[in-house]
Amino acid sequence: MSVRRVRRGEAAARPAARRVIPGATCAELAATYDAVLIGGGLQGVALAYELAKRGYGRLAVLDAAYPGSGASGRNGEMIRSAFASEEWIGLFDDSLRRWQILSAELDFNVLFTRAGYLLLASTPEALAAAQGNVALQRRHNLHVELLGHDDVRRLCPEMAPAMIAGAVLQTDAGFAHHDATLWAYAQAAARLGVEIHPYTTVTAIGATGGAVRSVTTDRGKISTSVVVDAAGGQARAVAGLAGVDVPVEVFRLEAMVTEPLAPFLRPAVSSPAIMGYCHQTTRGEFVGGTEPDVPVPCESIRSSLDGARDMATKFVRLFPRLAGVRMMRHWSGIVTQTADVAPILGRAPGIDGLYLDCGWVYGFVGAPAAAALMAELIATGRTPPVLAPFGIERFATGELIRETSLVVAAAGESVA
Amino acid sequence: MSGSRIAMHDAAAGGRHRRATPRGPIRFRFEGRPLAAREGYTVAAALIANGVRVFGRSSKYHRPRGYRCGQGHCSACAMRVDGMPGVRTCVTKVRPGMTVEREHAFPNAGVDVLRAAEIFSPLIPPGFYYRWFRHSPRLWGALERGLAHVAGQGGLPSREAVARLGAARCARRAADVLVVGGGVAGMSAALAAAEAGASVLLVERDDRLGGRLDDVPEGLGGTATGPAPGGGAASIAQETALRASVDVLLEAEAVAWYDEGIVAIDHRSDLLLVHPAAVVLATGGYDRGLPFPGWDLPGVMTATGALRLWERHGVAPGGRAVVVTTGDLGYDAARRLAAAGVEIAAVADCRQAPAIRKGLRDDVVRIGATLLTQATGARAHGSRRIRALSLSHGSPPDCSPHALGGQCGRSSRVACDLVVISASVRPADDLAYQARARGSLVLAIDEGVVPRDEPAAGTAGAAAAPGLWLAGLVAGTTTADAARTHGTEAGMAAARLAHAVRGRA
Repeated sequence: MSVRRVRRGEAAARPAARRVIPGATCAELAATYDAVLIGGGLQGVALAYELAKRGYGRLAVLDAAYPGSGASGRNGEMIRSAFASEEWIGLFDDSLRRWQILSAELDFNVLFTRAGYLLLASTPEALAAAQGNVALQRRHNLHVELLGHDDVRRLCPEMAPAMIAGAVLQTDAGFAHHDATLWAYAQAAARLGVEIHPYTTVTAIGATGGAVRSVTTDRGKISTSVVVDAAGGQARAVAGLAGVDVPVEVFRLEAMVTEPLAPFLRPAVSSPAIMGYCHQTTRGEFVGGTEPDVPVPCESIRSSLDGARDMATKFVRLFPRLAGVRMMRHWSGIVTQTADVAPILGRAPGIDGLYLDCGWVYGFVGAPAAAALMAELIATGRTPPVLAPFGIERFATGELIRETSLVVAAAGESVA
Repeated sequence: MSGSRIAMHDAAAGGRHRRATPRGPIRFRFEGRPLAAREGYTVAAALIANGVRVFGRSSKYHRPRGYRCGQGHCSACAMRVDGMPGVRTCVTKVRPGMTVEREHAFPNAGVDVLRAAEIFSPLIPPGFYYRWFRHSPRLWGALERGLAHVAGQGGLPSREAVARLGAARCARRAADVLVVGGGVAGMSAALAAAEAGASVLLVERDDRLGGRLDDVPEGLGGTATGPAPGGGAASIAQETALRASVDVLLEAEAVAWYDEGIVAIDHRSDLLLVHPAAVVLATGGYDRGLPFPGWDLPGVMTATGALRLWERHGVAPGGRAVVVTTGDLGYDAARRLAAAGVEIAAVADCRQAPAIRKGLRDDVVRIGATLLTQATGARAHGSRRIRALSLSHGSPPDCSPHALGGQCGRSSRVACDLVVISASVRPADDLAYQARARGSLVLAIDEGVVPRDEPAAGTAGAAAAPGLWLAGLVAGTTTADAARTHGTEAGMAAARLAHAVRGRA
């Protein structure tokens, strides 16, 4: 009898990973690129695809681990544009329109399920606030319906009646598969010549004369005049390499998936009352996450006992018959959150050629639009009007975006 | 040809030794049918005793699935029990009045028309949904709603099942040293830690102590040294259970390790949170399957699964068996199944004849079986349960599980209604990974390959992670003696740490 052992570590995984990750390359880094995107998450990969589509020359996406290893592969997969502010509706409805045709665009089914997105109101006050938002959303031609208690019960028969005052249903929204979306963008980008380099860590960004000149990595130095910080949880550190301060805090979010069950829930549901969001996939798994009432900044991606208990308790409160169902997996991811929970999109101040695409909490749903609009900005130098409110300048001027329909526990106060 | 037909007929009838439907005192309902079972049977044993072989269906092609591991590790035996979906019936005791139903099939798992899906398998390869209808959102929407109804497993728990659960119970439990696993290594660790003055909690997911030695009296594999020292597992178990400072919790599974140093334990559906100063993982290993076409047919099971049916419940796992092994362990299974009255048609060993000890070869002759060397399973035949196994032999003697199932060499077909797989063991190191154990962990424990003796991380007094020791099979220890030694060392080291930590507090 013998015992085989392996030393399990990143180093051993690297060569193999480069071969098997969709869209990734195992080639050496070139000496020069026209643009370098730091972060191989959905933002970086989608932006590279959009730039390549515009014929933007030689592009490299660098990731310290593998594409999608951060929040892009850990999020709750839900898609909507029915928000409560002009700014959010502008950006995210642009995205929702792209989601509707994304599978065709990328020649890969991202499994977008247009089952509707239900923003649940559990109190009369929450319902009244939702009513106000619906008027704004209709002015923007969003497909939203205001549902009463009985309508919601018909749509979600397993939902606890006590949790239902009413809801806003966005009928053409829903959810998609986050891995499929990343693979689709990565493969489409690779077909257009984008190089996606996994296991490549950026150690320095060189800027002289107020302009980006180079990027130094653990695999060599690259000269480039355009750098995009799309580094998700590490965005602050990456911007710091160029001396730019990105005002974000890092929070851990946790999610879980149950064993597959026969269909019992059609739309995606988010509930500010339990600070949670969930949906049931076509395969039958119930997927969702909840957030603690008072979040504490945390950079760990380890799952916590409190997280597991919070999700179990709250989801059973929302769907009583989930009691006893086995939780199959539980995982964590980190998000970077700005003071107004909106992303930071646009030029970095003071350095030509440095762009920011970070600070996301709703990054999965927002990626298709953000990528296309950021590509337009980088390629033409003009900021699309929809993108304008999301610039980093707003934190200096104090013109924060006021959005009240988020299911996010903001530090210090609840904006839900 | 006619001979093989007769053999197949015999096999189909379950052979001479098949037990009659048991007239036990427990009455339960299986899909509306009233059935009887003996006290102490698992639901799976009760169903097999009543002739039920198909326990469920696979999710895509609706392939029949049956009892397989007997350890609650795979999901092949999951059924809806008393309205609760996904219950592992091989580790759930049958109770009077229980209702048991198979899931995920139409009209039922016995006769499932969705089985026809496999006819279309060339059209629906893995990942077909990433390709289909990507240019037509409307058609995709329709297809996806249809798929949702054939995918999924059980339905939500019934309202009655939810009411029976009541409020979730969660308790905290104190202990200096937590020992996970009640085999020889775990029991030795618990005794040593208790001896050193620590308060010890020993959790075991089975309903008895003893672990693998309970199933394998002669130790594990080729370097086995006979029964466990000191009179076997039973006597250590007795000593462990009687020791005042060792708290033994049975049917308790450690399911998660959290950063706070808390280990979550699922004890008969209650959550138990333990925050020990030190942990010894003696979680053993899982029997692996072998990858050949039809490996998942009802009647193909692991050696542990097959032996437990007979030795714990007196239920014959089949009438005519082929034992496929990659090492010595399979011979032990063959011997014990033959003693249970199962006809052993053949023992297929992937090794060359000279590599097989003479004693083992004699055993095969003694039980009237044919020994096939350099042989392994090539294809299982049968629609709803196994009818025959094709073996390939004369192939290169590569015993790696990945190289098995090859089609090279000659092949022969043996009629049987039971295939017992005895391949390598996968260490149950899930918790060690959750605890971020460093260094080289054991990947697989193979029999039949050249022995190499090198202590794994976390054994022999060296911690695998702060406050964590590994002992026994999970750390690569393959004999009862070594399990006892390593368990004792780990228990002593854990107690020392606990003492230091508690001393500071």
